[in-house]
Amino acid sequence: MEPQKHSLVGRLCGSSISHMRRFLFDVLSAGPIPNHVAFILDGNRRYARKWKLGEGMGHRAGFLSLMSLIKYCYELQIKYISIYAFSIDNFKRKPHEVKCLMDLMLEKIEGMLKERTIVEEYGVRVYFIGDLKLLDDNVRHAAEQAMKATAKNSRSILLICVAYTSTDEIVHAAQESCEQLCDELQALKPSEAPFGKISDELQALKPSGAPFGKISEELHEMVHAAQESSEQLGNELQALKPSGAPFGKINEIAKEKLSGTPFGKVNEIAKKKLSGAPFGKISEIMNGKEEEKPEEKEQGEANGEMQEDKSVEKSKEPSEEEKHEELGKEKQGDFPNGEKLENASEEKQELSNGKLEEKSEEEQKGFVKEMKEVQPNIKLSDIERNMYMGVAPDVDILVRSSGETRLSNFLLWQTWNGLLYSPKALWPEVGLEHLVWAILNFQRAHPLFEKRKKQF
Amino acid sequence: MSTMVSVRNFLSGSHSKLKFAFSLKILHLDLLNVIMVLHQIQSVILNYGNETQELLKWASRSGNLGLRVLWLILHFAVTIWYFLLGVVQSFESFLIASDILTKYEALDISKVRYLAMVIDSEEAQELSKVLELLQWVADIGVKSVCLYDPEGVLKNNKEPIMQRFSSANLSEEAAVNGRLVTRRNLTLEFVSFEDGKEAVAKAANYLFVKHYANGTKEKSDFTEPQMAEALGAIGSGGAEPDLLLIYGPTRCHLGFPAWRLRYTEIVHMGPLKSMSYGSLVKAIFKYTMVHQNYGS
Repeated sequence: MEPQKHSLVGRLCGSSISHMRRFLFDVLSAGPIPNHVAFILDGNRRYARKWKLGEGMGHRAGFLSLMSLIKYCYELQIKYISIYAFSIDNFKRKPHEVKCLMDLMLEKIEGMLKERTIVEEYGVRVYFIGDLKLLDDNVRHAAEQAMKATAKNSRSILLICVAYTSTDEIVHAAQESCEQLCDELQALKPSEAPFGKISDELQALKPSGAPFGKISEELHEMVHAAQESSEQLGNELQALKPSGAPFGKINEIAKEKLSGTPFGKVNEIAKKKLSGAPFGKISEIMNGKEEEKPEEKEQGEANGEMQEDKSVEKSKEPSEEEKHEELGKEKQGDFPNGEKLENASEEKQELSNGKLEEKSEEEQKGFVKEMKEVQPNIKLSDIERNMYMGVAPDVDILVRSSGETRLSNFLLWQTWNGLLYSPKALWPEVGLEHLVWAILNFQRAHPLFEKRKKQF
Repeated sequence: MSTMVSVRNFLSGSHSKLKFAFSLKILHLDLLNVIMVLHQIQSVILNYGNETQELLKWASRSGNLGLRVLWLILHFAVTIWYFLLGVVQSFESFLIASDILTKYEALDISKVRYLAMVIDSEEAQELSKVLELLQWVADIGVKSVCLYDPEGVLKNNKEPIMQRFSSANLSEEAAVNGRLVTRRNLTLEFVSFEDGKEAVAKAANYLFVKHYANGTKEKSDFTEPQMAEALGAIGSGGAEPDLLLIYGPTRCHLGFPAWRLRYTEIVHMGPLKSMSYGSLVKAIFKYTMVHQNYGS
């Protein structure tokens, strides 16, 4: 009887406390609730020393308080929670301490995979953020499993930062952006276009379903200015069958693009190319383009960007022009007649087979030279997209326990418009009251944050 | 009547049915009246349902209203708390400024190698306050300061600030506000929002040109020193500050360049209009004390 009574009283107390807490959350929800809250779990070791617990017990106590805080956040309907579980700097700690932490992490991840109570209840999706290659294999494997297992959930998101520092994230994002740009520039498949602008325009073309029509129109406009036989060319282009142009030519076109001709014109050239317009035509048209280039280059110089490279480019131009004229002359004989279409395609095949090897070497060198003069256009949006934390919005509140006021290389990029809160309590002591105080401060500052968000 | 008889016979089978038949008989109803009564009962129930719905709606609206009122009361309490805190702090800074609290005199300024100040852009337009603040900072003994405001207001107003603090005459004594002030020099750096995120994008472009020139990636991945070098090359390099003071309404670093904020201590000083010499001294003192204990 006695134990039953206790448990009944206990349950009543517990449920009344939880009812009060829910009531408090209802009151708080009358105002704006943050979307993304981040926690730095600092002070576990100090807690263990203070209460004379064993080594590693501080982290377990910290884990308990983390679980309850996560539960409170999800009750309040805060969608994104980030936690700083392990920094790259923490690898410098004593090896057996690092191992202890890794074991704890592994244990908790596996526990989460098995039980899945909070995960299922709140529909939590888990991400492991950071340079996961620095982790041990078993931890990394468990992390990947957890990410896969919860991938279908989307109600709340938990971002666990392990082997993470903000500077490492920034460097990684820059690296990824460079890699992507490099891949775009070296795009060998016709379906891939160099530089974002071309791909945008190509995508705009795709839905229309009539690339030839559009291209011939643009051809008209463009070539008319340069040559007199442009209209004939345009018509013949429409009539000719498309065929995959050899790789070497594509590189050449890419070179043209990269040599700094204003994007508009070059996009058109590339568009024609990539829709499979025949080999010879393009060289001819490029011939025509070459004449226009000097004028347009002057415009580019007015922007003041290519001044250094001007001389280098000019010296290269003659060689390109020579090559183009070579090809163009081969074709010119045929097209004005408009009759030898079959020959044209045959010659094209010849060219594609015979000249490809010759050309590709020259073009490769030319390509390399061009790359050095490229003005790469990695934008801020590319960097942000490639960040590890790109899956979450900017941080609204960052809570660092133990009264430290540093960010310690955590989310430096994402907290630009977020409230920083440093309660003096050690992490295992952080509880509901700290969360509520942080949210109250956030609500006080919310109008200012909104204003600043619109500005930048 | 015949229907009544048949109903009665049918119902005469069991006790409850007898009761029903009995009640029917007492009420002298025929079937039509029964149906009418049922209809009436139905409409009463429906009305009751509507009324309950209305009641619930009103309750939830007033419940929301009630919650809203409670929320406002809660925030009012928080505002009162901050007001009291402000009063205590201004009293304390008055004491510090008048040298009554002497513990702050033992300030070891060499621990602060590089001080950064984040100032809210709207408040930064009051140049006189900024100059006064910088004068205090210089008086305390700080040698180099980084000034940040998100919109670049301070960058645009560089000249008067530079003129005041970077003059050629080092120890000229000038009369400012009736006090003789030793003219000190500060190394100043002006930073704005573009030197943070945009600079990283430009640095990525720089690194691309440098390392991807051969059309293929060089063997190694980028490293942090390489990124630091790239940031320096494009003009957004700069030392990492030891201490960051935020003069603004919220405790937020407003987009200070992320690369330089790694291990910087961040202290919120309140709005610029309520700045005080005492709070400045206290913040710097606390920083030096903390780092005395843990070592940097």
